[in-house]
Amino acid sequence: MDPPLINENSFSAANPSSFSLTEIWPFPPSSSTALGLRVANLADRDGSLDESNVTEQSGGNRNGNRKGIDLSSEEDGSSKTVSTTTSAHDLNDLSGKRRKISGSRNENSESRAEIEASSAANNKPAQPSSKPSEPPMQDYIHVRARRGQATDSHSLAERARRDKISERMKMLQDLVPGCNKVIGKALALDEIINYIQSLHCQVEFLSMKLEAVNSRMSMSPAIERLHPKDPFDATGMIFGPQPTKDYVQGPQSEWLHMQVGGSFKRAM
Amino acid sequence: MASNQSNCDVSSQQEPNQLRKKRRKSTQTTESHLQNDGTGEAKNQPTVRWRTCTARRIYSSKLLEALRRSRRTTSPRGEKTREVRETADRVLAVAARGKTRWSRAILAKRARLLRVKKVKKPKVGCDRMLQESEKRKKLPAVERKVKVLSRLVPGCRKVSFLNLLEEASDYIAALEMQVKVMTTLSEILAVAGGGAGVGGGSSS
Repeated sequence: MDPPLINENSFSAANPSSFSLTEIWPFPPSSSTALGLRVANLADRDGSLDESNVTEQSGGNRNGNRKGIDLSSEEDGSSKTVSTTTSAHDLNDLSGKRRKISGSRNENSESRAEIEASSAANNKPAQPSSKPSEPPMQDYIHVRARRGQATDSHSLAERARRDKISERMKMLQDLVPGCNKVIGKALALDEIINYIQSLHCQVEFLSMKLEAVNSRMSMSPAIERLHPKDPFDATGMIFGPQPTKDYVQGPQSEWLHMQVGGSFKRAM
Repeated sequence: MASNQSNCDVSSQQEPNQLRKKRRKSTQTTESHLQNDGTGEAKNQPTVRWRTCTARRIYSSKLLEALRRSRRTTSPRGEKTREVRETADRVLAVAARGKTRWSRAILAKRARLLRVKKVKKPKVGCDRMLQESEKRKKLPAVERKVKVLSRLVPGCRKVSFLNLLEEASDYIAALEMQVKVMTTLSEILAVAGGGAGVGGGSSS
Protein backbone atom coordinates (compact mmCIF):
# COMPACT_ATOMS: atom_id res chain seq x y z
CA MET A 1 0.00 0.00 0.00
CA ASP A 2 2.86 2.34 0.61
CA PRO A 3 4.61 2.63 -2.79
CA PRO A 4 1.71 4.00 -4.79
CA LEU A 5 1.00 6.61 -2.19
CA ILE A 6 4.43 8.08 -2.12
CA ASN A 7 5.58 9.86 -5.19
CA GLU A 8 8.94 11.29 -5.87
CA ASN A 9 7.39 14.53 -7.00
CA SER A 10 5.71 15.19 -3.76
CA PHE A 11 8.86 15.20 -1.75
CA SER A 12 10.07 18.47 -0.49
CA ALA A 13 12.70 19.78 1.83
CA ALA A 14 12.85 18.16 5.17
CA ASN A 15 11.26 19.90 8.01
CA PRO A 16 13.08 19.82 11.29
CA SER A 17 9.95 18.63 12.98
CA SER A 18 9.81 15.58 10.83
CA PHE A 19 13.22 14.34 11.69
CA SER A 20 11.79 11.68 13.89
CA LEU A 21 9.84 10.48 10.94
CA THR A 22 12.89 10.02 8.78
CA GLU A 23 14.36 7.70 11.28
CA ILE A 24 11.39 5.47 10.95
CA TRP A 25 10.53 5.70 7.32
CA PRO A 26 13.01 4.27 4.84
CA PHE A 27 12.00 6.80 2.25
CA PRO A 28 13.95 9.98 1.68
CA PRO A 29 13.24 12.62 4.24
CA SER A 30 10.38 14.54 2.94
CA SER A 31 7.18 16.20 3.73
CA SER A 32 5.19 14.45 1.15
CA THR A 33 1.52 14.57 1.38
CA ALA A 34 1.52 10.90 0.71
CA LEU A 35 3.71 10.36 3.70
CA GLY A 36 1.43 12.57 5.60
CA LEU A 37 -1.36 10.41 4.35
CA ARG A 38 0.33 7.29 5.45
CA VAL A 39 1.30 8.75 8.75
CA ALA A 40 -2.13 10.13 9.23
CA ASN A 41 -3.23 6.56 9.37
CA LEU A 42 -0.93 6.13 12.30
CA ALA A 43 -2.46 9.05 14.06
CA ASP A 44 -3.96 6.78 16.60
CA ARG A 45 -0.63 5.43 17.59
CA ASP A 46 1.50 8.47 17.56
CA GLY A 47 0.00 11.86 17.30
CA SER A 48 3.26 13.72 17.01
CA LEU A 49 4.33 11.85 13.95
CA ASP A 50 1.11 12.54 12.27
CA GLU A 51 1.22 16.19 12.98
CA SER A 52 4.74 16.67 11.73
CA ASN A 53 3.63 15.60 8.32
CA VAL A 54 0.41 17.47 8.46
CA THR A 55 2.16 20.75 8.81
CA GLU A 56 4.29 19.89 5.87
CA GLN A 57 1.27 19.63 3.70
CA SER A 58 0.10 23.00 4.86
CA GLY A 59 -2.39 23.10 2.12
CA GLY A 60 -5.84 24.44 2.31
CA ASN A 61 -6.69 21.05 3.53
CA ARG A 62 -7.40 22.23 6.95
CA ASN A 63 -10.76 22.50 8.40
CA GLY A 64 -11.75 25.76 9.91
CA ASN A 65 -11.33 24.14 13.25
CA ARG A 66 -7.67 24.71 13.00
CA LYS A 67 -8.04 28.43 12.73
CA GLY A 68 -4.90 30.19 13.81
CA ILE A 69 -2.88 27.06 13.87
CA ASP A 70 -3.07 26.90 10.13
CA LEU A 71 -1.83 30.40 9.85
CA SER A 72 1.13 29.86 12.08
CA SER A 73 2.08 26.67 10.38
CA GLU A 74 1.50 28.17 7.01
CA GLU A 75 3.73 31.05 7.82
CA ASP A 76 6.39 28.62 8.83
CA GLY A 77 5.92 26.69 5.70
CA SER A 78 5.54 29.59 3.37
CA SER A 79 8.84 28.75 1.85
CA LYS A 80 7.51 25.41 0.91
CA THR A 81 4.36 26.57 -0.70
CA VAL A 82 5.71 25.79 -4.10
CA SER A 83 6.33 22.23 -3.20
CA THR A 84 3.01 21.92 -1.52
CA THR A 85 1.18 22.97 -4.62
CA THR A 86 2.48 19.94 -6.38
CA SER A 87 1.74 17.82 -3.41
CA ALA A 88 -1.76 19.17 -3.32
CA HIS A 89 -2.56 17.43 -6.54
CA ASP A 90 -1.52 14.19 -5.02
CA LEU A 91 -3.81 15.02 -2.21
CA ASN A 92 -6.64 15.32 -4.62
CA ASP A 93 -5.98 11.87 -5.93
CA LEU A 94 -5.38 10.31 -2.61
CA SER A 95 -8.21 11.94 -0.79
CA GLY A 96 -10.49 9.12 -1.71
CA LYS A 97 -8.32 6.58 0.00
CA ARG A 98 -8.09 8.45 3.23
CA ARG A 99 -9.43 7.21 6.42
CA LYS A 100 -12.00 9.16 8.32
CA ILE A 101 -9.51 10.84 10.59
CA SER A 102 -7.32 12.24 7.89
CA GLY A 103 -10.18 12.51 5.48
CA SER A 104 -11.84 15.27 7.37
CA ARG A 105 -8.66 17.24 7.07
CA ASN A 106 -8.16 16.82 3.42
CA GLU A 107 -11.59 17.64 2.24
CA ASN A 108 -10.63 21.03 0.97
CA SER A 109 -7.84 19.89 -1.20
CA GLU A 110 -7.81 22.79 -3.59
CA SER A 111 -4.84 24.44 -2.12
CA ARG A 112 -3.12 27.37 -3.68
CA ALA A 113 0.18 28.93 -2.93
CA GLU A 114 -1.54 31.80 -1.16
CA ILE A 115 -2.93 29.64 1.50
CA GLU A 116 -3.54 32.30 4.05
CA ALA A 117 -5.88 34.21 1.87
CA SER A 118 -7.78 31.33 0.48
CA SER A 119 -7.91 29.15 3.52
CA ALA A 120 -10.85 31.08 4.79
CA ALA A 121 -12.68 30.60 1.57
CA ASN A 122 -11.71 27.01 1.10
CA ASN A 123 -12.66 25.79 4.46
CA LYS A 124 -16.03 24.30 4.12
CA PRO A 125 -17.13 24.57 7.72
CA ALA A 126 -17.93 28.21 8.00
CA GLN A 127 -15.53 29.02 10.73
CA PRO A 128 -13.31 32.01 10.11
CA SER A 129 -9.78 30.81 10.07
CA SER A 130 -8.39 34.28 10.37
CA LYS A 131 -9.04 34.34 14.07
CA PRO A 132 -6.01 33.97 16.24
CA SER A 133 -5.81 30.83 18.19
CA GLU A 134 -6.51 32.52 21.45
CA PRO A 135 -10.29 32.43 21.78
CA PRO A 136 -10.81 29.28 23.68
CA MET A 137 -12.73 27.61 20.85
CA GLN A 138 -15.90 27.12 22.71
CA ASP A 139 -16.65 23.93 20.89
CA TYR A 140 -13.69 22.23 22.42
CA ILE A 141 -13.03 21.07 25.90
CA HIS A 142 -9.71 21.85 27.43
CA VAL A 143 -8.67 19.94 30.40
CA ARG A 144 -5.48 21.91 30.48
CA ALA A 145 -5.28 25.60 29.82
CA ARG A 146 -4.19 26.41 26.34
CA ARG A 147 -1.00 28.30 25.82
CA GLY A 148 -0.02 30.19 22.74
CA GLN A 149 0.48 27.81 19.88
CA ALA A 150 3.72 29.08 18.64
CA THR A 151 5.60 25.83 18.32
CA ASP A 152 4.39 23.27 15.91
CA SER A 153 4.66 20.27 18.13
CA HIS A 154 2.04 21.60 20.48
CA SER A 155 -0.41 22.38 17.79
CA LEU A 156 0.23 19.06 16.23
CA ALA A 157 -0.44 17.26 19.45
CA GLU A 158 -3.57 19.28 19.95
CA ARG A 159 -4.76 18.46 16.53
CA ALA A 160 -4.25 14.78 17.18
CA ARG A 161 -6.08 15.10 20.44
CA ARG A 162 -8.94 16.90 18.79
CA ASP A 163 -9.23 14.21 16.21
CA LYS A 164 -9.38 11.56 18.84
CA ILE A 165 -12.09 13.50 20.59
CA SER A 166 -14.14 13.86 17.45
CA GLU A 167 -13.76 10.19 16.72
CA ARG A 168 -15.02 9.25 20.14
CA MET A 169 -17.85 11.72 19.89
CA LYS A 170 -18.91 10.06 16.68
CA MET A 171 -18.86 6.69 18.34
CA LEU A 172 -21.01 8.03 21.13
CA GLN A 173 -23.39 9.57 18.67
CA ASP A 174 -23.83 6.22 17.01
CA LEU A 175 -24.72 4.68 20.32
CA VAL A 176 -27.23 7.26 21.37
CA PRO A 177 -30.36 7.22 19.24
CA GLY A 178 -31.24 10.57 17.85
CA CYS A 179 -27.84 12.05 18.40
CA ASN A 180 -26.90 11.86 14.75
CA LYS A 181 -29.18 14.68 13.82
CA VAL A 182 -27.64 16.99 16.35
CA ILE A 183 -24.70 19.05 15.28
CA GLY A 184 -22.25 20.41 17.78
CA LYS A 185 -20.65 19.09 20.85
CA ALA A 186 -22.81 20.82 23.40
CA LEU A 187 -26.09 19.54 22.04
CA ALA A 188 -24.70 16.09 21.46
CA LEU A 189 -23.46 15.99 25.03
CA ASP A 190 -26.92 17.06 26.11
CA GLU A 191 -28.41 14.12 24.35
CA ILE A 192 -25.88 11.76 25.80
CA ILE A 193 -26.52 12.98 29.31
CA ASN A 194 -30.26 12.65 28.88
CA TYR A 195 -29.86 9.20 27.51
CA ILE A 196 -27.70 8.02 30.39
CA GLN A 197 -30.15 9.46 32.87
CA SER A 198 -33.03 7.72 31.16
CA LEU A 199 -31.11 4.46 31.19
CA HIS A 200 -30.50 4.88 34.90
CA CYS A 201 -34.20 5.44 35.44
CA GLN A 202 -35.03 2.34 33.47
CA VAL A 203 -32.61 0.29 35.51
CA GLU A 204 -34.16 1.55 38.71
CA PHE A 205 -37.60 0.78 37.45
CA LEU A 206 -36.60 -2.68 36.33
CA SER A 207 -34.92 -3.40 39.61
CA MET A 208 -38.17 -2.55 41.37
CA LYS A 209 -39.96 -4.90 39.06
CA LEU A 210 -37.42 -7.63 39.59
CA GLU A 211 -37.67 -7.21 43.30
CA ALA A 212 -41.41 -7.64 43.12
CA VAL A 213 -41.01 -10.76 41.04
CA ASN A 214 -38.35 -12.04 43.38
CA SER A 215 -40.44 -11.65 46.46
CA ARG A 216 -43.33 -13.36 44.76
CA MET A 217 -41.10 -16.18 43.67
CA SER A 218 -39.61 -16.69 47.07
CA MET A 219 -43.12 -17.15 48.42
CA SER A 220 -44.00 -20.07 46.18
CA PRO A 221 -41.30 -22.72 46.44
CA ALA A 222 -42.41 -24.45 43.26
CA ILE A 223 -40.69 -21.83 41.17
CA GLU A 224 -37.32 -22.69 42.57
CA ARG A 225 -37.29 -25.54 40.16
CA LEU A 226 -36.75 -23.15 37.31
CA HIS A 227 -34.13 -24.74 35.16
CA PRO A 228 -31.10 -22.48 34.82
CA LYS A 229 -30.92 -23.03 31.11
CA ASP A 230 -34.44 -21.97 30.35
CA PRO A 231 -34.03 -18.25 30.79
CA PHE A 232 -31.10 -18.24 28.36
CA ASP A 233 -32.92 -19.99 25.61
CA ALA A 234 -35.97 -17.94 26.23
CA THR A 235 -33.86 -14.83 26.28
CA GLY A 236 -32.33 -15.98 23.06
CA MET A 237 -35.74 -16.35 21.54
CA ILE A 238 -36.79 -12.96 22.71
CA PHE A 239 -33.53 -11.26 21.89
CA GLY A 240 -33.12 -12.79 18.50
CA PRO A 241 -35.86 -11.22 16.46
CA GLN A 242 -35.66 -7.89 18.19
CA PRO A 243 -33.57 -5.20 16.57
CA THR A 244 -30.92 -4.16 18.97
CA LYS A 245 -30.94 -0.46 18.40
CA ASP A 246 -34.56 0.38 18.48
CA TYR A 247 -35.05 -1.17 21.84
CA VAL A 248 -34.48 1.64 24.25
CA GLN A 249 -36.73 4.40 23.13
CA GLY A 250 -39.72 6.34 24.27
CA PRO A 251 -42.55 4.01 23.30
CA GLN A 252 -40.74 1.15 24.96
CA SER A 253 -41.13 2.73 28.35
CA GLU A 254 -44.87 2.75 27.85
CA TRP A 255 -44.70 -0.90 26.96
CA LEU A 256 -42.76 -1.51 30.15
CA HIS A 257 -45.39 0.31 32.12
CA MET A 258 -48.02 -1.95 30.66
CA GLN A 259 -45.97 -4.96 31.57
CA VAL A 260 -45.60 -3.79 35.11
CA GLY A 261 -49.29 -3.24 35.36
CA GLY A 262 -49.85 -6.77 34.20
CA SER A 263 -47.40 -8.30 36.62
CA PHE A 264 -48.75 -6.32 39.52
CA LYS A 265 -52.18 -7.62 38.78
CA ARG A 266 -50.86 -11.12 38.78
CA ALA A 267 -49.00 -10.58 41.99
CA MET A 268 -52.05 -9.27 43.73
CA MET B 1 -38.33 -33.34 39.18
CA ALA B 2 -35.81 -35.33 37.25
CA SER B 3 -38.25 -35.99 34.43
CA ASN B 4 -39.10 -32.33 34.24
CA GLN B 5 -35.50 -31.41 33.95
CA SER B 6 -34.79 -33.99 31.29
CA ASN B 7 -37.74 -32.77 29.28
CA CYS B 8 -36.48 -29.27 29.62
CA ASP B 9 -33.15 -30.42 28.33
CA VAL B 10 -34.64 -32.07 25.29
CA SER B 11 -36.82 -29.18 24.33
CA SER B 12 -34.18 -26.64 25.12
CA GLN B 13 -31.53 -28.41 23.11
CA GLN B 14 -33.41 -28.26 19.85
CA GLU B 15 -34.24 -24.62 20.02
CA PRO B 16 -30.86 -23.20 20.94
CA ASN B 17 -29.22 -25.05 18.07
CA GLN B 18 -31.41 -23.28 15.59
CA LEU B 19 -31.34 -20.05 17.50
CA ARG B 20 -27.59 -20.11 17.94
CA LYS B 21 -27.12 -20.41 14.21
CA LYS B 22 -29.26 -17.38 13.64
CA ARG B 23 -27.53 -15.52 16.41
CA ARG B 24 -24.12 -16.40 15.08
CA LYS B 25 -25.02 -14.97 11.73
CA SER B 26 -26.21 -11.71 13.21
CA THR B 27 -23.18 -11.31 15.42
CA GLN B 28 -20.85 -12.15 12.59
CA THR B 29 -22.33 -9.54 10.35
CA THR B 30 -22.06 -6.89 13.00
CA GLU B 31 -18.50 -7.80 13.78
CA SER B 32 -17.40 -7.91 10.18
CA HIS B 33 -19.06 -4.60 9.57
CA LEU B 34 -17.18 -3.06 12.40
CA GLN B 35 -13.87 -4.55 11.46
CA ASN B 36 -13.74 -2.34 8.43
CA ASP B 37 -13.57 0.69 10.63
CA GLY B 38 -10.61 -0.10 12.81
CA THR B 39 -7.61 -2.27 12.39
CA GLY B 40 -8.30 -5.28 14.56
CA GLU B 41 -10.16 -3.23 17.12
CA ALA B 42 -13.55 -4.64 16.27
CA LYS B 43 -13.80 -6.73 19.39
CA ASN B 44 -12.85 -3.86 21.62
CA GLN B 45 -15.55 -1.57 20.37
CA PRO B 46 -18.21 -1.15 23.00
CA THR B 47 -20.98 -1.90 20.59
CA VAL B 48 -19.55 -5.28 19.78
CA ARG B 49 -18.52 -6.07 23.27
CA TRP B 50 -21.89 -5.54 24.82
CA ARG B 51 -24.17 -6.63 22.07
CA THR B 52 -23.04 -10.18 21.57
CA CYS B 53 -25.42 -12.85 22.68
CA THR B 54 -22.67 -14.38 24.74
CA ALA B 55 -22.38 -11.24 26.78
CA ARG B 56 -26.12 -11.24 27.37
CA ARG B 57 -26.10 -14.84 28.35
CA ILE B 58 -23.24 -14.38 30.75
CA TYR B 59 -24.87 -11.38 32.32
CA SER B 60 -28.28 -12.97 32.64
CA SER B 61 -26.88 -16.12 34.21
CA LYS B 62 -24.81 -14.18 36.69
CA LEU B 63 -27.70 -11.94 37.50
CA LEU B 64 -29.96 -14.87 38.14
CA GLU B 65 -27.45 -16.44 40.45
CA ALA B 66 -26.91 -13.23 42.32
CA LEU B 67 -30.62 -12.68 42.68
CA ARG B 68 -31.13 -16.17 43.98
CA ARG B 69 -28.38 -15.71 46.47
CA SER B 70 -29.72 -12.39 47.64
CA ARG B 71 -33.15 -13.89 47.92
CA ARG B 72 -31.91 -16.57 50.24
CA THR B 73 -29.96 -14.24 52.48
CA THR B 74 -32.05 -12.13 54.77
CA SER B 75 -32.58 -8.78 53.22
CA PRO B 76 -33.54 -5.48 54.84
CA ARG B 77 -37.21 -4.83 54.39
CA GLY B 78 -37.03 -1.24 53.39
CA GLU B 79 -34.19 -1.20 50.91
CA LYS B 80 -34.82 -4.12 48.66
CA THR B 81 -34.97 -2.11 45.48
CA ARG B 82 -31.67 -0.51 46.12
CA GLU B 83 -30.19 -3.90 46.82
CA VAL B 84 -31.46 -5.36 43.59
CA ARG B 85 -30.19 -2.39 41.67
CA GLU B 86 -26.81 -2.57 43.29
CA THR B 87 -26.65 -6.28 42.62
CA ALA B 88 -27.46 -5.68 38.99
CA ASP B 89 -24.81 -2.97 38.73
CA ARG B 90 -22.27 -5.13 40.43
CA VAL B 91 -22.91 -8.04 38.11
CA LEU B 92 -22.64 -5.68 35.18
CA ALA B 93 -19.31 -4.46 36.46
CA VAL B 94 -18.13 -8.03 36.83
CA ALA B 95 -19.20 -8.77 33.29
CA ALA B 96 -16.97 -5.94 32.14
CA ARG B 97 -13.98 -7.95 33.35
CA GLY B 98 -12.18 -5.01 34.81
CA LYS B 99 -11.24 -3.39 31.55
CA THR B 100 -13.14 -0.20 32.11
CA ARG B 101 -12.81 2.44 34.74
CA TRP B 102 -16.48 2.60 35.64
CA SER B 103 -16.66 -1.13 36.30
CA ARG B 104 -13.70 -0.98 38.65
CA ALA B 105 -15.25 2.01 40.38
CA ILE B 106 -18.52 0.18 40.94
CA LEU B 107 -16.75 -2.80 42.44
CA ALA B 108 -14.49 -0.60 44.53
CA LYS B 109 -17.51 1.24 45.88
CA ARG B 110 -18.96 -1.94 47.20
CA ALA B 111 -15.64 -3.11 48.65
CA ARG B 112 -15.29 0.20 50.43
CA LEU B 113 -18.82 -0.01 51.78
CA LEU B 114 -18.24 -3.44 53.20
CA ARG B 115 -15.12 -2.35 54.99
CA VAL B 116 -16.09 1.04 56.35
CA LYS B 117 -19.45 2.59 56.77
CA LYS B 118 -19.91 5.42 54.36
CA VAL B 119 -19.82 8.82 56.02
CA LYS B 120 -20.75 11.61 53.70
CA LYS B 121 -18.45 14.54 54.30
CA PRO B 122 -19.83 17.91 53.29
CA LYS B 123 -18.03 19.22 50.29
CA VAL B 124 -15.46 21.75 51.38
CA GLY B 125 -14.97 23.27 47.99
CA CYS B 126 -18.66 23.72 47.35
CA ASP B 127 -18.77 27.34 48.46
CA ARG B 128 -15.81 28.20 46.35
CA MET B 129 -17.38 26.62 43.35
CA LEU B 130 -20.53 28.66 43.85
CA GLN B 131 -18.55 31.86 44.14
CA GLU B 132 -16.62 31.10 41.03
CA SER B 133 -19.71 30.31 39.09
CA GLU B 134 -21.19 33.59 40.16
CA LYS B 135 -18.15 35.51 38.99
CA ARG B 136 -17.97 33.67 35.72
CA LYS B 137 -21.57 33.44 34.74
CA LYS B 138 -20.95 31.10 31.86
CA LEU B 139 -18.38 28.45 32.12
CA PRO B 140 -18.06 27.16 28.62
CA ALA B 141 -21.27 25.30 28.12
CA VAL B 142 -19.47 22.21 27.01
CA GLU B 143 -17.40 22.12 30.17
CA ARG B 144 -20.47 22.24 32.32
CA LYS B 145 -21.92 19.31 30.46
CA VAL B 146 -18.70 17.43 30.73
CA LYS B 147 -18.87 17.81 34.48
CA VAL B 148 -22.41 16.53 34.57
CA LEU B 149 -21.42 13.61 32.39
CA SER B 150 -18.48 12.80 34.59
CA ARG B 151 -20.79 12.65 37.55
CA LEU B 152 -23.13 10.29 35.76
CA VAL B 153 -20.52 7.76 34.78
CA PRO B 154 -19.26 6.11 37.95
CA GLY B 155 -15.64 6.63 38.78
CA CYS B 156 -14.98 9.21 36.13
CA ARG B 157 -14.84 12.48 37.97
CA LYS B 158 -11.23 13.36 37.37
CA VAL B 159 -10.77 11.69 34.07
CA SER B 160 -9.67 13.50 30.98
CA PHE B 161 -12.30 14.35 28.42
CA LEU B 162 -10.96 11.87 25.95
CA ASN B 163 -11.09 8.95 28.35
CA LEU B 164 -14.40 10.16 29.68
CA LEU B 165 -15.93 9.84 26.25
CA GLU B 166 -14.59 6.36 25.87
CA GLU B 167 -15.83 5.31 29.28
CA ALA B 168 -19.19 6.85 28.55
CA SER B 169 -19.63 4.94 25.32
CA ASP B 170 -18.77 1.66 26.99
CA TYR B 171 -21.03 2.51 29.91
CA ILE B 172 -23.95 3.30 27.65
CA ALA B 173 -23.55 0.06 25.76
CA ALA B 174 -23.38 -1.86 29.03
CA LEU B 175 -26.43 -0.09 30.41
CA GLU B 176 -28.40 -0.88 27.30
CA MET B 177 -27.58 -4.52 27.67
CA GLN B 178 -28.45 -4.41 31.33
CA VAL B 179 -31.85 -2.95 30.59
CA LYS B 180 -32.58 -5.55 27.96
CA VAL B 181 -31.57 -8.45 30.14
CA MET B 182 -33.43 -7.20 33.16
CA THR B 183 -36.58 -6.66 31.16
CA THR B 184 -36.58 -10.12 29.72
CA LEU B 185 -35.60 -11.68 33.02
CA SER B 186 -38.42 -10.00 34.84
CA GLU B 187 -40.79 -11.05 32.08
CA ILE B 188 -39.66 -14.63 32.19
CA LEU B 189 -39.67 -14.84 35.94
CA ALA B 190 -43.08 -13.31 36.10
CA VAL B 191 -44.42 -15.72 33.52
CA ALA B 192 -42.61 -18.62 35.09
CA GLY B 193 -43.97 -17.67 38.47
CA GLY B 194 -47.46 -17.48 37.13
CA GLY B 195 -47.10 -20.64 35.10
CA ALA B 196 -45.61 -22.71 37.89
CA GLY B 197 -48.27 -21.51 40.24
CA VAL B 198 -51.04 -22.66 37.95
CA GLY B 199 -49.72 -25.96 36.69
CA GLY B 200 -46.56 -27.44 38.13
CA GLY B 201 -46.14 -30.15 35.55
CA SER B 202 -46.80 -28.11 32.43
CA SER B 203 -43.35 -28.73 31.03
CA SER B 204 -43.69 -32.50 31.24
